Amino acid sequence: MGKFGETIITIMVAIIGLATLSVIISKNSNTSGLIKNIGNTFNSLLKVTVSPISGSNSL
Amino acid sequence: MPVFLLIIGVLMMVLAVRGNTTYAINLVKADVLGTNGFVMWILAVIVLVSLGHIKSIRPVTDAFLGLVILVIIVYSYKNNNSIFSDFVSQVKEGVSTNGNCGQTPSATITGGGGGSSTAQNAADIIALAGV
Repeated sequence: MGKFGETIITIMVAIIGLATLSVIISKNSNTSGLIKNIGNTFNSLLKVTVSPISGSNSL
Repeated sequence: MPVFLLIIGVLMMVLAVRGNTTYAINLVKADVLGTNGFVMWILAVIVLVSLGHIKSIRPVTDAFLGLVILVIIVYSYKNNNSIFSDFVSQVKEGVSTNGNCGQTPSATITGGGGGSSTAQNAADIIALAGV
């Protein structure tokens, strides 16, 4: 592939990167809620894992 | 990959011994082919990975793959307002009731519809296997 092809590939990657960025920062995506949810899930799984020791059945 | 295949193999063996094979197959079928199933996403990923073997366009396919995975996660969260809530609830249920070993499966087939449903069905299959 020549220099022109490499330039095209770079431009395409940049456009896809821009699309990715717009998905992340879009209000519709609610990325902050998503990150919070992932944290809560991790927290819940951790609680479930240690529940036999901690004795908390409420989880 | 070998470990993943080993886990699948053990899961299938346990399901066969416990006689829940048909139920597990229906769960997976509903998830993949049901309403809003994952077949299109799976096809997209397969095509992107296949195109990624062409060295010159590898960066483009990698970027696309990342975008697809991001959209799957965001779409799943947007639809269910949670990603793994069903999976976590199944795990909690398994811990609090010591699983449902030896009981008739009581889970319902939800018919696909996003990652959360998939997580629930995956947890159902594991619960059916009594692992």
